[in-house]
Amino acid sequence: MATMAFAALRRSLASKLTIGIGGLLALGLTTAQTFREAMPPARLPIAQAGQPIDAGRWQIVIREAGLSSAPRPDGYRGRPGTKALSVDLDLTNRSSESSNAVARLLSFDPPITGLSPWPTAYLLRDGAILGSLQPGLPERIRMVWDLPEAAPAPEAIRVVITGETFKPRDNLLAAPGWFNPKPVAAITLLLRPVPARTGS
Amino acid sequence: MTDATAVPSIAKPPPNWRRRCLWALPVILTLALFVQARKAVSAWAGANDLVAQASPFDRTANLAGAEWRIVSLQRIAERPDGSTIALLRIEAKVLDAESVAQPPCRITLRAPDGRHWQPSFLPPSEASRVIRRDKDEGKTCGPAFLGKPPAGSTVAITESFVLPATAFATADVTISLPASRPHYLRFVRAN
Amino acid sequence: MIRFLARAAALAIAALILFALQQTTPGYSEITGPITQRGVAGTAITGRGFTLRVEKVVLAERLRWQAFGRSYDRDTGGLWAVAVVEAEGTPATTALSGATWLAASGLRFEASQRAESARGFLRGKRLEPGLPQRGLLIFEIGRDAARRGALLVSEARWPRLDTQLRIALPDDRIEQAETLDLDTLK
Repeated sequence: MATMAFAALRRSLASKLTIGIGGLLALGLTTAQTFREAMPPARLPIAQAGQPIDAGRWQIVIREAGLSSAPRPDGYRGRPGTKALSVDLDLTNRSSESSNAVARLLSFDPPITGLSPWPTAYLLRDGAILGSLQPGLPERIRMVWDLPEAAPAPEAIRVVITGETFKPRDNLLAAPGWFNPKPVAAITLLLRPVPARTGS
Repeated sequence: MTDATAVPSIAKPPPNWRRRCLWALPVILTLALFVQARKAVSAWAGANDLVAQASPFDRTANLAGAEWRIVSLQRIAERPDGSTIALLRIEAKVLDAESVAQPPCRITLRAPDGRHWQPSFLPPSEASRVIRRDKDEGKTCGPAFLGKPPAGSTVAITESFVLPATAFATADVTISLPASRPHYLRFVRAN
Repeated sequence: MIRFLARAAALAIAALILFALQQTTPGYSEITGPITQRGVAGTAITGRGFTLRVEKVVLAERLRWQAFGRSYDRDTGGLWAVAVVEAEGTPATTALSGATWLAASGLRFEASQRAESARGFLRGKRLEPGLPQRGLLIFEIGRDAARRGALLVSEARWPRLDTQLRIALPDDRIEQAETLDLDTLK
């Protein structure tokens, strides 16, 4: 009688496991993910100027940075009372569509006081504001932030590069896109005055 | 024998609910679709010009709380590529200030084959020359009603169109406003 | 033992079928996305709101044009592809905001904003019914995207349940040039 009860118990357990295996797997996976995210974060790799950095949609090669009151590449002198902090870089669009999502690519750590929140990007080939970058065609661009004249000029800046990952189907519209921005590399640059752009 | 004749008078077989529900299914589905789509259909009807209210060219007609009258429809210029610049002047006497002032109003030139031309956003240079020459304010429909003109006032509207020279002779003028859609006014060319 | 194996096999097959169904479902943005209409360069193709005919495509290394009193000279790291098209709104006034070069490898190059000031640039221009307008759609493409490409043209930049014309560009409609002066193309 005990063996019969035991056999019945084992059968019902087997069928419960069969039905509930999906839920159990999901529980196990989310637990493992929670443990992984709770671990201390890995340190940011340090990059050098001239070294290609893979930042999701873009491949970046940082060239140089400068701080000056020289006019921008399109001739605009900037608002009175500001100077321009500029970073020159080579960008290649690694995605399959034209894109101009470069505003959040570079940030400063520690943040520089008085800096304008979003940079203006210039295409140095044309000396004009950047439109879109086409896939696979590398271009040299300059990103310019405004800094008030009176703000202290740092000697060197630490630039953090943010990259996104590609999801072929997102959660809302099942459309491909680049999501989850997170820092991929950091680079320390010395500031030097930018030469004024000659010609048009 | 007597049992056999007594059997048929027993109560009818119980109703076949499965069959009844199956027959009711198309009716219920159609009803549900209708209830769901009612709002979407009324929104679509309110955005499109569906029902024409024809009127002769030289008379006034009422629409959406105003009395509309065509002052003039002139051919200003002919371009070498076969297009014509047309200038349309309309006068609206406001009867109900609230309903007339809702944007956006839609004035088009409509050909009998269904093609229609929307007014240009900025008047072409030929048209602005004529507007300046005639000392016309040159306000298009939206800006003309911006200040919410009171009832009883008259509003002058000037719109310019670019259309093929061959289509100008038979083009009717249509006016529609959000307060009146799906009804719209169609001033029919007499010829 | 057999029953256990059978149970496990049934689970595995069910998981496989569900996985296949999930992976092959078209996404929401595909179902509500552009409705493609195919055509070939040279013939006039009518979409829902416009008619388009691609006459030819000129590939060039540099572009030159005059606009607003100054002259522009643009070079590129890839190639310039200038498509000479004729477009008309049918049946109402419209404008084309979507123009993309679809390369054979699947890369999409949107019409270049660097050449927007050119006089014949057609993207964004009003198209009236009955007045076909000849204009240029200018793209900056990679060198290996020049052959066996297609043009994707639509009224909206990201069409939703609206026509997108996909016009194949055969090699006999493609010309080459070293420097192209856009003012001579009309």
